[in-house]
Amino acid sequence: MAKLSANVFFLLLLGLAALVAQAEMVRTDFANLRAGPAATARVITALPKGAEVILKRQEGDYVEVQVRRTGMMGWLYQPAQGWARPAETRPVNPSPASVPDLAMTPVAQVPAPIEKQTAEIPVAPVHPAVLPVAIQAPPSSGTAASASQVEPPPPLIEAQVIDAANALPMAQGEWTYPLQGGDPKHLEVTDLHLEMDALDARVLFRKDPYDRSEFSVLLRDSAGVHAGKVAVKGNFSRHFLKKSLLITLNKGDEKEGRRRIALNAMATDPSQAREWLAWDLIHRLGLPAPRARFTRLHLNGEFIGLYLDIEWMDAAMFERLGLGAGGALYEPEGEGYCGDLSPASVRDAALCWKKLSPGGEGFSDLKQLAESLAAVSSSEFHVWLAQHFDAQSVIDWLVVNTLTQNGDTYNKNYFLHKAGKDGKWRVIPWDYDLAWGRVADGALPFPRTAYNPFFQYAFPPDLGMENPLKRKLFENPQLYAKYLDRLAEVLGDRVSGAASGKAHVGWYEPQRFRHVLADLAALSRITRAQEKYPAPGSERAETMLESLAFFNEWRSHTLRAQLLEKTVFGTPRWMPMPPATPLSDEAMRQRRHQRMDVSASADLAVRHARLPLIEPLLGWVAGVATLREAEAPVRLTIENAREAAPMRLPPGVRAGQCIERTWFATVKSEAPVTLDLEFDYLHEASTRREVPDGMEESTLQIHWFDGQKWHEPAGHVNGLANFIAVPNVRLQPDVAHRFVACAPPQRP
Amino acid sequence: MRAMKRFLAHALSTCLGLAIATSAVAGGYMRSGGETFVGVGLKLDYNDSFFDKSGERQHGGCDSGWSMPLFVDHGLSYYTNVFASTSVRYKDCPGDKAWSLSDSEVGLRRRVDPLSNDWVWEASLFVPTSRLGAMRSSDAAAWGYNLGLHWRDRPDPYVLDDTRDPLAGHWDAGFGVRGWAKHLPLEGWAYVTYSRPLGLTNWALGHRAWTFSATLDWRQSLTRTHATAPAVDAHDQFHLLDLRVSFEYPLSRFERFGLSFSQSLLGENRDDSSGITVRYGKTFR
Repeated sequence: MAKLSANVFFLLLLGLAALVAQAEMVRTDFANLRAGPAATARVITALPKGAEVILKRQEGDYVEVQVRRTGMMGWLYQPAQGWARPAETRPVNPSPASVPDLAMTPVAQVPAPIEKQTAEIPVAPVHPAVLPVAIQAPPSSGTAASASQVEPPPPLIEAQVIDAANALPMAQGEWTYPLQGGDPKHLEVTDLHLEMDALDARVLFRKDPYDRSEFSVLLRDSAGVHAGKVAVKGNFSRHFLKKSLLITLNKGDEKEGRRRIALNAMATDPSQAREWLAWDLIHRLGLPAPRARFTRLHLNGEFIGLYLDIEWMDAAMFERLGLGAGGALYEPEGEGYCGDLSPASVRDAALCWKKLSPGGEGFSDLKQLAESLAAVSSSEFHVWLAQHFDAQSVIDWLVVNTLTQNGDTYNKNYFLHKAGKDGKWRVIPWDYDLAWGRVADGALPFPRTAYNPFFQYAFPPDLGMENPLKRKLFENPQLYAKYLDRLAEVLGDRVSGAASGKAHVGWYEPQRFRHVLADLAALSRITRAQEKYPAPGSERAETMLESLAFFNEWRSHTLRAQLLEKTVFGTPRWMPMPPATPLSDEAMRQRRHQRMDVSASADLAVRHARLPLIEPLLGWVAGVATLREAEAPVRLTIENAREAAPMRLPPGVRAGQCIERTWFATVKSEAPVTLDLEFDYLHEASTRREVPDGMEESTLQIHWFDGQKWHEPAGHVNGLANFIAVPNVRLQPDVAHRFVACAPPQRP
Repeated sequence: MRAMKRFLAHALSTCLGLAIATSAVAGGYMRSGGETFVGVGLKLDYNDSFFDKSGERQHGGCDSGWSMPLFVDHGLSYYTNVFASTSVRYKDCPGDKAWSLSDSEVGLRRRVDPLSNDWVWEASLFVPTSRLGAMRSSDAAAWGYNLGLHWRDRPDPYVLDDTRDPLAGHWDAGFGVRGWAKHLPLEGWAYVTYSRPLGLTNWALGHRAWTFSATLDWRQSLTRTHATAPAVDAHDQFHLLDLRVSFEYPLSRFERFGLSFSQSLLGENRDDSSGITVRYGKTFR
């Protein structure tokens, strides 16, 4: 009893201490809460205006705080000397870290007049950016050199400064793909206010994942109150606390003509960006598709989280798309994994397909379609497709799947609609949360099949299950050419007159993509800090966002090299292959190796421009280099000794602690040059990896050898996207500099 | 007289056995709001012995036969389920064959803590029904009530943990009391069930797996009766322990098939019976 009293007293004391601790409030629109007292420290999350924090201690220009609502600890920028802007250390546009984050106005006091200072962070217009111009030697000036004199090398050219982040020399430990400066106002975000019984509101998110009960709900908006029911929706996502929801409003009580409102929780994607990005591309390509927009969900006045409001596919949606209210809508049966339009899939159609409309049991039109599709040859497929389908919807579906690297499709995750208006079929894509670099590993038990740390950006364009629509399109020269043209338009290459100015052109171009990603990151940071049911892995959301930027850039280089460029022999680097023989269960669980050295060279003549070095025969990206300082253009060669333990290591480091790859960089130049270098490694599956068992990738350090000595660990590692970045490496001419990535020895 | 006593004892225990078996089979499982489950079974029970008041097995008497239990369970809401059960019985003994309708039960189950899936309480009434072809006794119970509490052990559903064994077993348990309108002692009941899947069901791959469960079912009189004439010593103290082993197989996502074997292990003043049941159940939404 005495012990209980003492504990209670101690708790009361703690509570009292918390109450009397000095509390402050964030006065800027949002403030970056960092992991350390430095501008280069990782941003944990962003605090919105009005968030209350308890001050702990000052260190330099930063103050350590505790967020009152969540207890989270971190550092906010708050110069001790007051509001004077610190001296500029960069030539171009300061990062938001130089902006005072916190107005030191105690909550209880009258705020002193404090001038709010914000840096001007330019946001480049969202349009296809122009890549650095091709390297051209300027015409020589002055008197012609005599035959005995050596021509001076052409001067280096500065890259067009389109992306402020690109122009910045990357400091130690800084993010390779800084996603700062985004503005959530560029995105359409609505608010949805629900009211329900207080107990029901808690139960809705906490109940048994498999329970299918509905609860009464009121939806309040400017038009009034709408009554209906709310239930959890989804399959795998039911296992997350943040549930996806389906609101069904009573007849006659629709909201803006909508009877059903489907809210996707995005719980499987802490970056909250994958789905939105896919939908944005789908809409810009003009695919028939439901609207998708961000919605902040509020329940009984409390903010729950950021959701994706996806339009319910019903007659109203198809009317809106101009396809008429009638028509048939089918979807592959989610757990059947056989809705691939093969003849087998329609033999017992109810096993593989769901008929969503019209009512009734028959699948006759789908059966006819599948049988007709099986009968047509690849050479005549373009004629068949034009007769039966809106062919562009199929081409665009493949383009979206290629760009997002979506392998979770072709036998599920799409809809087939036959419009009553023109009798043609259309594909409506669905569900991209497991795309954008995520990998399914069949050798692992559920849920690690889909929920795992593996990553790959270089899977082939036709990734995914077999599907005759896909196969025959790739095998038909006319359609394949259209597919390549469409792909090139989205990549920002080869834009024909007809496509010029269209919404999808240049969408995938990395500099443009990163601006959009920065907007998404800004929105996600604000809402993530306030989510009532944070998705697991939310603490790695920043790493995931950077992974998306990496995926986009490296995949764009890969697709361009493999599909759009020809080799020196004029042959394509990639062709659709017949389906591979599936591995046996036993073989699927065995580790497979592909020991190979990959090498690429390139001339670097443009300063501050990121240049991929592409292996000439395979079209693989060996690395990305950014020239910082050089006296003249240089020729850089990068070699990857893949899937082999490093043969030379810093003192005290064992091979078992290291990624099983060595990277080499050699420059041919007359003087040392300074470069930023970016390399990747393989961690694609449990059976295809260069990561030793038990290695924690977040602890990796990059060591490099300049021919004489090993340098101290430097650079940045993204263990999720499997890349390393080493800034400001000074390379000596004609020396093979060696790079390895190793984890510190584990303490016993 | 002795035969009649034995008959009543057998009849009552059979009736009780079926009713309790129904409740224990349902256990504490709460159906989703708006969902209905219907189950039908066919049981063959063999009963030619009983436990006397010193707990010894005695041969004699016959109460073997067939029965067809019916069970319906509906989710009124997330919080409350209602259920009902009955059983049609055919006694098949030499020189003694009769159809009867066993006592039927109507009840409800409700979550104790809506945020937890673990505890469920239930309350039900036994509705009196006439026994076709059977001798009515004025001491036969008019109606009965049941109150119980169920507990289910489930792993945290929100932990995506790949170290968790998908074939792990789990426990269910429950206890309660039953009372009767007149003359019969208050009864206590308790059960504990262990279940585990014998494989993984994966509809996508066409894999379906059996689930095994074993239940120990205990019933015990809690009070003595003060029966008036005719005195029926069968209504004195009793206890009974049954073992039931079941196997269930998913026929589809909404249908399942069950096969179970039951055997009385020990008892006092109760039938010693063994039985085999096949069940079919379907969920409607």
